[in-house]
Amino acid sequence: MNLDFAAFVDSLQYMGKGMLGVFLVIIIIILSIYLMNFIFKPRSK
Amino acid sequence: MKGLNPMDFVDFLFSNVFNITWQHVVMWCIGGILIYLAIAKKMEPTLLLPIGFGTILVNIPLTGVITQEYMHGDEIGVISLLFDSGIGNELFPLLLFIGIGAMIDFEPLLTNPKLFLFGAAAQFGIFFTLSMARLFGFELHDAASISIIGAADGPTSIFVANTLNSNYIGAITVAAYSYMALVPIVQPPVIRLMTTKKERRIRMEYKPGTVSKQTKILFPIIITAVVSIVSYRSAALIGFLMFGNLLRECGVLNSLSETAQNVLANLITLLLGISITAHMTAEEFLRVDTLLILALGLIAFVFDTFGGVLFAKVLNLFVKKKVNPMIGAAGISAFPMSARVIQKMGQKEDPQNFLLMHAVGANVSGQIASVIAGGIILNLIH
Repeated sequence: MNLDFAAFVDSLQYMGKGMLGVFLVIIIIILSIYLMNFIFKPRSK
Repeated sequence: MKGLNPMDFVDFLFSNVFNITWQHVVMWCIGGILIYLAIAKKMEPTLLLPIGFGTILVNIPLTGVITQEYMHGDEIGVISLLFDSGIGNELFPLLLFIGIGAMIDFEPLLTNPKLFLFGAAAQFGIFFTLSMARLFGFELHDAASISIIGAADGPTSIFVANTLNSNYIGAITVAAYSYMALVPIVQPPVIRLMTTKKERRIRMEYKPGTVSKQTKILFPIIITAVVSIVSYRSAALIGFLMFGNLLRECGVLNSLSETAQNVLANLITLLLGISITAHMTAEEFLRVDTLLILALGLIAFVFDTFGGVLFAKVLNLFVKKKVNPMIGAAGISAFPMSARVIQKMGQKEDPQNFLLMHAVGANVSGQIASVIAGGIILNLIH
């Protein structure tokens, strides 16, 4: 089996872009949840 | 039977025996092992049982259960038909997501949204495995499909592999579901290797907060909108997952929610399992590549765990209230297995340490993060 180091190095861009993308979307979601929790505070019993 | 030569009759009766090859026998054994794991070890039985049985069925020559040449043309097989009409158009994985969405209670996550970060970090295994698959010579679309085993989520794996038209969808599905069932065996050694006893004993205070009904109802709608806009290839996956959750939280469709959680999810899983076997034939499965895919699947799960734990350790450098780094490992999507593993490991180190709710929060965040990761893979590669 031949190891393709050029393809490996080339694919590292997907690792960088992918992880950055996941974190960005998650941060937007976190901010949305804080906003929802702020606007719709649970009624105190 | 009068007039029929007995030898001709025996020939007629057993003619198919000579079509059986050793590859078929190996596939029967693989099918048998999957059935054994499903029944004796209770490993994902709703899926591994139909896959195991279907594997035996499709590897009996000339049965016509999968599409084959017969007489003067192609004879459409029932399992191939199920594959084309249920997986080929991504219908089954999406319908299953309605059931999964209805099963998940996002409240621990909504009360502590920061736990979402662990879900993001624990997707590292996906992207690391993509690079490793490229290193081993897989084409980019196959490497991406294999990497999504690290989503630790069967429907997402099937959806992405099918959208990318991967040649290895059978092996990818078997690997994804097998490793999900093996989380209690795969994760603990990695966690122990990456953490000290002192770190594993870190206690985390749990303040049970309350979330308003409006937030619970708006959450699936807003998540669908946000994720679909930013990571548009995830729209179908996240949409069906969140629709299931909306059924659960809306409060007026309880019977539908229960049906989605039980009957719908079980039925679709069964059909998904049997349909996948259209690609579990000896010709497609018995290749060196299959072993490599199983190995890469393991790498994906190991590096998901690595990513989650490492992120928690880095986070601890900057925060006052320390996080138990094991929580990071619960960021994979295998719900609720991973959260249980963390709770068990925490209690082993300190019987008074209750990490379950934090781990559950990270674990359900992994469900959403893995869908986002799947969509991003499709955005980047498709």
